Amino acid sequence: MSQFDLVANLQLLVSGLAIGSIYALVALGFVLIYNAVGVVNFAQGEFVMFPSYIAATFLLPAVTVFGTVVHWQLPVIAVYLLVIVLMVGFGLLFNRIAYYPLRDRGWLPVVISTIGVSIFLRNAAQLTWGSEPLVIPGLFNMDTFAIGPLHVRPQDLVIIVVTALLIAFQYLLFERTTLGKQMRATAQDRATARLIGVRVGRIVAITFVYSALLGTISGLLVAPLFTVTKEMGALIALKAFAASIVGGFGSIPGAIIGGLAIGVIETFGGFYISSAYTDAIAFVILIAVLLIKPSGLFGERVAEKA
Amino acid sequence: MTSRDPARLRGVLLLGIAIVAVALVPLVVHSDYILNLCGVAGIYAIAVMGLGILLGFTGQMSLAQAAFFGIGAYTSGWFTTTLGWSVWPAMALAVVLSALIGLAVGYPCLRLSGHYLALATIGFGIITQLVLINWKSVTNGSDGMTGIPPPQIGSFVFDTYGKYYYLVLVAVLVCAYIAWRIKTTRVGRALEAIRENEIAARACGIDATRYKIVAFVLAGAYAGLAGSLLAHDTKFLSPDSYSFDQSVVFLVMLVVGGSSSIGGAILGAVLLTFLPEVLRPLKTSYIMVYGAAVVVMVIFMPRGLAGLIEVARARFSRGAPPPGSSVSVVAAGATGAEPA
Amino acid sequence: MKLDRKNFLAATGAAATTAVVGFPAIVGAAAEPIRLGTVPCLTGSNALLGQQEHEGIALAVEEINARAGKVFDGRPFEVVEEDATNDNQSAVAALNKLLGENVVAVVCPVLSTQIQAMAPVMKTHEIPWMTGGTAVKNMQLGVPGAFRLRASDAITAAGMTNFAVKDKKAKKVAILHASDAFGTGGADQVVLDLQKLGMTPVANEQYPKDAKDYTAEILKIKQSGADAMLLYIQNPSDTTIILKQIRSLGLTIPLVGSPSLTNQTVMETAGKDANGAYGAVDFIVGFNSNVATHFLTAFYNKYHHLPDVGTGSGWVYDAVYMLADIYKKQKSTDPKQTIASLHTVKNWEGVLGTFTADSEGNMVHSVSIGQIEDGKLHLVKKVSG
Repeated sequence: MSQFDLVANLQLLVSGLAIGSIYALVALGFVLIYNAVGVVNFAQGEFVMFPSYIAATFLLPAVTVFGTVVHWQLPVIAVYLLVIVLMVGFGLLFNRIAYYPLRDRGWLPVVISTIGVSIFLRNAAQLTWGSEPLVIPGLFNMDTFAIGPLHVRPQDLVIIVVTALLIAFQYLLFERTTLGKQMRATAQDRATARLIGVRVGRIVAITFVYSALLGTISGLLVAPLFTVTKEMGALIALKAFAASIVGGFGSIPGAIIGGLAIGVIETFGGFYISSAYTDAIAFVILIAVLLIKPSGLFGERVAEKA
Repeated sequence: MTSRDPARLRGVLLLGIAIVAVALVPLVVHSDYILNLCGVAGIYAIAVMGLGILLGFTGQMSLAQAAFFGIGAYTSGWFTTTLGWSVWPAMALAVVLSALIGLAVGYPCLRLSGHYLALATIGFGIITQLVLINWKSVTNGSDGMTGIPPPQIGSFVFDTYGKYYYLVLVAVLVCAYIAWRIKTTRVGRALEAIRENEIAARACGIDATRYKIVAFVLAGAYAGLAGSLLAHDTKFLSPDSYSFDQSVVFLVMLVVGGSSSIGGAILGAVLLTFLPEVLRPLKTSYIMVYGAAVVVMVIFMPRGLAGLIEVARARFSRGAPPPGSSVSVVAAGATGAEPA
Repeated sequence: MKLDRKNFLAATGAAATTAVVGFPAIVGAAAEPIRLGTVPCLTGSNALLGQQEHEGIALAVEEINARAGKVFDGRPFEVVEEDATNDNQSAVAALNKLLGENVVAVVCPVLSTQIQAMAPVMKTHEIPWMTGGTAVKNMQLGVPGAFRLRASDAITAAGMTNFAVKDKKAKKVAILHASDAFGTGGADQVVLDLQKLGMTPVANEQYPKDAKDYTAEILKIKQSGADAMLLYIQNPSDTTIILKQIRSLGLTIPLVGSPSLTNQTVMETAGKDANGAYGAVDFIVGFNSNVATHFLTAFYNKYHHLPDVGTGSGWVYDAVYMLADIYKKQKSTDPKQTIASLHTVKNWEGVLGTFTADSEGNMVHSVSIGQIEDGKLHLVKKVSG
């Protein structure tokens, strides 16, 4: 029994870390936007869903778009580049429509605006691509391979590795480049940043774009595992939001650790306690953490205005 | 406070006319479809008013309103179906229980604010829904609870949409009155002070802890009442109606209507109940339009519908107001009257 | 009158005018459309099912309206469709709206929760309600005029359980089900059926709504030493992911699923991970009658994709045709008369098989067990309830 236990636990760990990485990436997206403009983006899940659909349109041999079947299959690398380019545009558009008109109005109206966009996008996806779930191939399209008695899905490993690389990339971006420092300055104090010559409007737009790209990468990573449906972003976003909060809203390491923690907790909790109550377990632990540390594990970097 | 200011009297008169107009609707409109929607809109308005007290007045971000809605509904449902209670005591119990749970939730949340509070309430909401789904011996789980009886007084049974309309109307008026009394007295001002700046409020001697808890209790009670009313109207309950998404709907209704106004809560609920119905002819693109409409409304109506009406009223009161103008605006907003 | 040319022309002219003026009036009256109500869930998370229902109904109506006599006496069907969405409240509103529009019969959604939410309204209108939800309770709500055109969960669950135990010789049965009404209701039925065989499930796992990773549940089932797994899941997307994960975690025990396992979408998207799985089905391609063959061809010609016959497009097609046949026979659309006629349906041939009404209004009393191989279903056996 003990050998199986070890294997089972490792299996759970790998799955937990994989889904946790997705939560971490999406949580990062939340935190970046929050740091830059002080609002929670309820459409973050759609930043994951929409690029997945676009990718599917060009990765699959046949897709139904607006009721007609199209065959626009392109090579994988071309598709990934195309999606990235489109999502940059998407991020800019989102900034202009959902955030910019409301930038001086406090956080609640912006939250509502992003909710509206989220509803809009989910339905737009259904109108465009129909209700059938789409399946897109993973990066390597290999089957599960076995390491001893452990069954490993290549996609899980890809997710973990890519997430780690992204986090490293982001660290370098923020600490070593001018752009990164400008983004951090804007996040800390917009007025002062403006004073020292940072083009705040542009940095905010770039932040939205970067967040959209994080969502895109999450989508491309996770879509081969799940299927591409219009609801795929919604639950991920909720858990990611929870992760970013419990890590300390505004803290980047907090978001990452929070995301991984939630992924692992819910996987292990589902196995050892009860799969029906998986979500409840995760949230009970979250609430417990909050009650002990009301501003999250790593506290909040930007002081909340009293 | 008790000035015989003609503008005030005019305001009260207009409100009275509006209420009478709303009360006459079932005598004129016979469509089950419309009357049902009006009842549902009114029920949602009660829940949104509760959220308005907690979020609008006191600034506490709660995304758990749907959970209290569900607790009220299932309490009422269970006591009337399994235990055979009469509806009225069951409804009262639903309100009390939701209020108590509001207390139980509000107390630990005192130390939390902003996003942390939001998350804690989201968590509570999700846990509540899971309990509703899995506590099958009481709630019947996902299969749902059927056969919930309508309320009755003596031999008069509230079993048509028209009759239920009046029940809901009375409830809405009572709840609105209570909320108004809260808003315009010391309690309301204390809540507002807490919303604006809790530290400063405490410095002025306001017991923020007590008032925040009161706000939570009231929000719970209102939502509990609304849930109970819905249970006896639809006579069927299922846990998937009490989700995080539903809490989000209440939030959107509040903000679109005008978050610190009671009339706003009612208008928001009515508008966002009727809007998807009005958009039905658009077939499957209706949700898209709905989502876009929410974005547009929030951009162009900074203080919600209520704010818009105030602006209109202010413009009209420079000089004698055209008779019936504000009335028609308010009445139209209150009933959301659209032809079938 | 003298029958001279002038009079003759005048008379002919008068007759012709009367005919021209009168004819549309006569034809118009006879061609009064028959309003058929439908409430599929076209938006929301079950939009796929709603879409499938919409397509099936549209095809049936199109074919019937193209016949010479249309339904009867030249009267066509006119579909009045309202979106039930995903929300029970909206579904009830949709139904109320529909009922305000003079429909003579309604083809209901396939979701059992929506049917139960609509029941209080349905009870007050005595018209034919053609439903497809499979929860046993649906037919026990006291709705006059409710009929079910698919096999109920009682039959399906029994079919699945008995197949697993008797045919696949399973001694340790595990269950994996969704948390919605379909999943929990079905799982409860399976537990009852196992009890009748003197067994209890070694694992009964419920996955949370919207979950995307099933590692915990599948590992628990693996750990329980089960030698067969019964799946009660309705959402095609969830089913696909679960099948893939079962395979990727190396679980090779026989799988027997509820009707949605063999949903066309699932077979296409799960690809080889679905191979070898068994499912209880209302319908199997290849094992069918002329009606079914015609349906499949016509559907493909119109929509360019294969229909999902069991849960989506097939039963609604049958519902419309059944009503058309009854209206034609009785030359009237009177609801009460139609309900009485529906109760007397016996061995009516549809796409899904033969329909015979019982006292509760159930019309289908058997399911088939099929096995998936390379995106197609092969019949293994037929089970009667």
